[in-house]
Amino acid sequence: MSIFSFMFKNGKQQQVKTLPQLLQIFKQSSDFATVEFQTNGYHFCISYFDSLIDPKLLQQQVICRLQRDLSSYASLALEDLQQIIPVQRIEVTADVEMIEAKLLKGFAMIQLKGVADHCALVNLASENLGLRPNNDSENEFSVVGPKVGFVENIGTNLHLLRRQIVTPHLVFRELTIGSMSQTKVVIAYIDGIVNEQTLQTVVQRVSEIEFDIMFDTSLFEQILSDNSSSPFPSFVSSERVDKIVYALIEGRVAIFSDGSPYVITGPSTLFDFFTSPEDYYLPWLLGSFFRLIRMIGVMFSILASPIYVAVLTYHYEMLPKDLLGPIIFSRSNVPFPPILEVLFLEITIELLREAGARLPTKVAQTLGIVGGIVIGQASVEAALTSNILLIIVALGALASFTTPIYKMSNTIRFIRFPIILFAACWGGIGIVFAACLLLIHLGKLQSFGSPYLVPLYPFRVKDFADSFIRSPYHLTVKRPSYLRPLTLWRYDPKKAKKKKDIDE
Amino acid sequence: MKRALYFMLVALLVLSGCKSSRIVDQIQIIHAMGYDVKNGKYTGTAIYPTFKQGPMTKPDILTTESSTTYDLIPRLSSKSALPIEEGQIRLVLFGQQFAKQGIAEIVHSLARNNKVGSHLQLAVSKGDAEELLRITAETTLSDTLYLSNLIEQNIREMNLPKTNLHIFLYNYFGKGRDPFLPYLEKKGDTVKLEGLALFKYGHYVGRIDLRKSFLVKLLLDETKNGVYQLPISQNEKKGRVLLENLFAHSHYSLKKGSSPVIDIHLRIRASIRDYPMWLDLSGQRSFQKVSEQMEKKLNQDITNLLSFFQKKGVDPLGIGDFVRSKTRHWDEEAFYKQYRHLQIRPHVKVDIVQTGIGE
Amino acid sequence: MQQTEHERFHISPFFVFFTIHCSQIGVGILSLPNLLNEETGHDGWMSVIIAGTIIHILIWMIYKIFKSAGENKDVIQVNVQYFGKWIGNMVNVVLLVYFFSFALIVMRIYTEIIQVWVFPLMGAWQFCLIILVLTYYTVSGGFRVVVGLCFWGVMIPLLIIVPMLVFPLEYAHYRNFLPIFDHSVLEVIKGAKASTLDYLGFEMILMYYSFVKNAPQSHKWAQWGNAFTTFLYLIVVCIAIVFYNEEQIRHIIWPTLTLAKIPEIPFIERMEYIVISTYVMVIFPIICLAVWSVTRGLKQIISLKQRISLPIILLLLFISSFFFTKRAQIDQFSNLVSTAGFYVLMAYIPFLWIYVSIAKLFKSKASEK
Repeated sequence: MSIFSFMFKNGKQQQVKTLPQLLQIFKQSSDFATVEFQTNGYHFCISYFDSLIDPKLLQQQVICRLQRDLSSYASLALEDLQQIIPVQRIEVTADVEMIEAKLLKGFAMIQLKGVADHCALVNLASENLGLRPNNDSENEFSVVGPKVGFVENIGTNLHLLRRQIVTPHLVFRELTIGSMSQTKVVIAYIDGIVNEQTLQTVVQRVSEIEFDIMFDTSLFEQILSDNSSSPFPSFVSSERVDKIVYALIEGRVAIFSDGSPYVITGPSTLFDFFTSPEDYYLPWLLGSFFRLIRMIGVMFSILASPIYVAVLTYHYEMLPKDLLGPIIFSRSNVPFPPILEVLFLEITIELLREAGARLPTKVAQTLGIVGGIVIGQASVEAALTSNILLIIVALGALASFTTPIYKMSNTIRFIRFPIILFAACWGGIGIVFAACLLLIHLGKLQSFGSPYLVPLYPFRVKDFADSFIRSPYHLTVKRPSYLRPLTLWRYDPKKAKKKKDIDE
Repeated sequence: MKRALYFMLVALLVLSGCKSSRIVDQIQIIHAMGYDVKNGKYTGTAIYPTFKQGPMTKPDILTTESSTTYDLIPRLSSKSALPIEEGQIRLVLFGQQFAKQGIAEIVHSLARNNKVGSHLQLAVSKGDAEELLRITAETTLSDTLYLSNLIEQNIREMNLPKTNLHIFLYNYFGKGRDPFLPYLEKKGDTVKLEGLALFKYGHYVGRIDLRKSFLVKLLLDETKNGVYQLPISQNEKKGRVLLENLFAHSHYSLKKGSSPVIDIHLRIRASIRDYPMWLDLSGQRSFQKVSEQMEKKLNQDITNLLSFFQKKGVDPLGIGDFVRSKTRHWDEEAFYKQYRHLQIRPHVKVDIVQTGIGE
Repeated sequence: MQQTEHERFHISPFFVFFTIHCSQIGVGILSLPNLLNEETGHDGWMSVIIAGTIIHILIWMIYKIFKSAGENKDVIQVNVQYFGKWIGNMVNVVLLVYFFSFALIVMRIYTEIIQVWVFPLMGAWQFCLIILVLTYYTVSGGFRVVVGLCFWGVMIPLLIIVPMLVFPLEYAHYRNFLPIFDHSVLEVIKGAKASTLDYLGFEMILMYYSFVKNAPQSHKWAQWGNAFTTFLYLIVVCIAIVFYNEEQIRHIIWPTLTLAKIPEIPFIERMEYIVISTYVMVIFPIICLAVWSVTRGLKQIISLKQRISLPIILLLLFISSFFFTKRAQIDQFSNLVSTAGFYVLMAYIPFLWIYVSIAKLFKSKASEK
């Protein structure tokens, strides 16, 4: 940020005062074009950024019309252009700053000779140029349910959202963030549900952001989070439409940013990171079961290798007699203490994952198989690691990938390492020390001012309906109370909840 | 600055933390320990597995001699390449001679030792403990856990009453009860469970055979297994039936007075597993007759067993403890003075619930 | 504005259940059966109930004190209000020293257990240090974080340790309860006195009372917290009674820990190591609460910022932990602290209650006139 902001500050000082000065600056760039032509005695001067506008629009809607239809007008003022050019909202202005901003967004400036400082701004921006038209939400795949995902274009994203939430209470609040990128940022919420205080916090924090270029919403996530030095993500970010819609109707706030297919929602709790949309599409029993499996998987992933280290280094008494033989045998030729053995394998797996993520999909698959099998097998045979550990570490890695939100699964894989170190120093007691540390940290965390561990702490019995298990829908008619929504009921439960007698 | 301080602290802790590690493959895990006394000198035998060849163990033996029992394990260390750890010890075997001299020292040391588990088995061997351990290590058995598994199997499925370190200590320290241990014997190249060894004040005082240990098992608490052979006669034919215990429950009651009487009501639900071909079990009456015979025989056996205990002055059934629970300010000494002459009456009730799938 | 700002640090009345329960259950429960056995043998469970009832009354008194003295106050202000600046502050300092020693003894006994059971070669200072660093992290997060830790300190051991108590019942000798009332009333009361010490810690509510939202409403939860403690103690004592006999317990310093040698599941044995490890969760909130109380008290008395006093207190705790290296010293100090605690409970709280009630009586009479 520092270099760019520095440059920007310098630029700000030589402020553009007049239109010719502005044009002078723009003309330094070769893609700034100015077309001058005469028709029916009027001299037009159209200036635009070649790289931002759609040339077809310019030709068909502007130049062509001007040349053909102008004859019917006796005296032409800039304001009359709206009637000639079939493009919505042509603005006539003399405000240099506005002209600058609009030109940089893909507007064309039409000047009429004789009218000195006013000009008309026509929106000719090519909205979809260079952007992908659709997103199959491949990164958050679910077998059941819609597969539409958000794209880089904010207009499309808002469209997708509004198509699902058909209510006038869905409010978009637009802001512009980024000193260089001038990124359009939209805060979406449903009026009458979202808590006013939360909304205020969000709007305030977003509008206070100082940054040069907003590449992605994940930058927001870091800048907005209440504790920036925490490995835990403070907000759920998703590219799935259904997930964002669900968050909005629960009373959360969503933040869209132009150029980013990911939308962040907040306030979030720890549990939100372990829910997958599929939980809601499957029957509640299955949904709950898979959610529990996922959470147990996370526990396993965090604790398995530390427990291995602790038991093998300090607490051999805890091994049952039938397990003692296989463990000692598999470790008998390994020259390292368990901690090094575990670190070696854990880092190998991290390497594999990192390499796989950086390579094209097809190569990555091969790499995964070759790396996994060959290195795993070879390191066991070379007696660098024990094969029991290989199973534990591989299972732990596998379990960490079940987390539906990528950022959380990164976190889970990261926090394993300090716990392994604690386990290597103080055995089981070290693991509990680390767990304490983790719990205190989570207890301190907040997301937009609301506690992170809710409904566990502060303890809310009613909000457990959709936490460890996904209760049937008739039990989740109320919105979670920790979000303090203005209306608690999602829909009228009386209609849905009529119980019939047997054979009725 | 603050963070750097934290990091330094953590680094310091890491460096100092690793010295008390006991990595599982860099220690000598003892599975069984034997104690003997020969010519006034104590012998300790440790048996431990080695896993160099495969997950199947190869047992090894260490022995050492000393004039006290305390420094046997430290002395074993002087013969071992890796530090000896007793945390996984599953069996402590006493030679009969040693047991006669008294096992109090070892028992107190085990009670104090937080490394050993409560499920540790204690046992007495007829000859030397070392000899028995050598059999398990050097013959085809070749299993460091053979003896402890043998005992556990017999507790679970057969006639041996439940024992382990905790139960032994409970009986040993507790007032009004005496401990007992499984009694093992060398039979050729194998080891055989031969009943129960009885202790009084930490000294071996005698033993009962495996058949009788079933009765002890019945009388101690609820049990669900064990077999017992009983003589039977019907129409002047004599034979034996094999009774398989399905569920037994004993209930004690005390009649107070100048000469207190203890009634033991024992209810056994059992199946007859094997019986002579001539035995007619089809009718209600013959069935009842058979169970009556059994009850009578069992009553007789139990009475014999109890009088044996009374004669020896040992109380493995915890009758003293039972009397204590019925008496305010119970006096242990006074009770055991009259223990010999205490009247104990067993009342056995046998319910035969099944006779297998064949008629 | 300041009021609402203060509100953010408050806890809801419900959490008093956790703070009370959590601060009571500490290292004491591990040796409680042994302690009771010496006085009352197998009738120990009666002592536990009697002690629990006494504590119920004391909690009631504490709530009455604050009701008369005014809500939104802690004991520091109450003392000054009723005893004057000098005497009141002297009492306050004594209280703070007591809380300090309470934290110290809990920490030191736990580190001793670690040393005896798990790491005989490691210095206790390591564990003290790490506990204190974690305490700093917690207490610097404010009272809400401390209470959050109390919550976990109740829930996690409840889920991990308490289910293990079922396993020893396999070896239960229910006959051990009989004959009931084999001990004299005096012995039972002596046992009750001994077990009162294991209820110590709840008196820290004197310090954090002003941090409870709608504090009078929390009375019910405070009583429930104590009832739950009594219930757990009762369960542990009963299980120890049926599992051991009186002579056996005498040979075991921590009978409750030895109980954990019994459970076995196919992939892990020797649960006492799990219990000892998980016990960090039990010990740690007590230390945090006590340290928080001390720093809070210092802030009230000499208006020392908690940010400054916290590191100093922790450093003092660390240094003083070096003074107790032998078991005898720890025992001696532990007796001292529990005697002090006993007088705080049995003398100070009732005295304050009577004093405050009488003062209120006079005041209301004066206002009538």
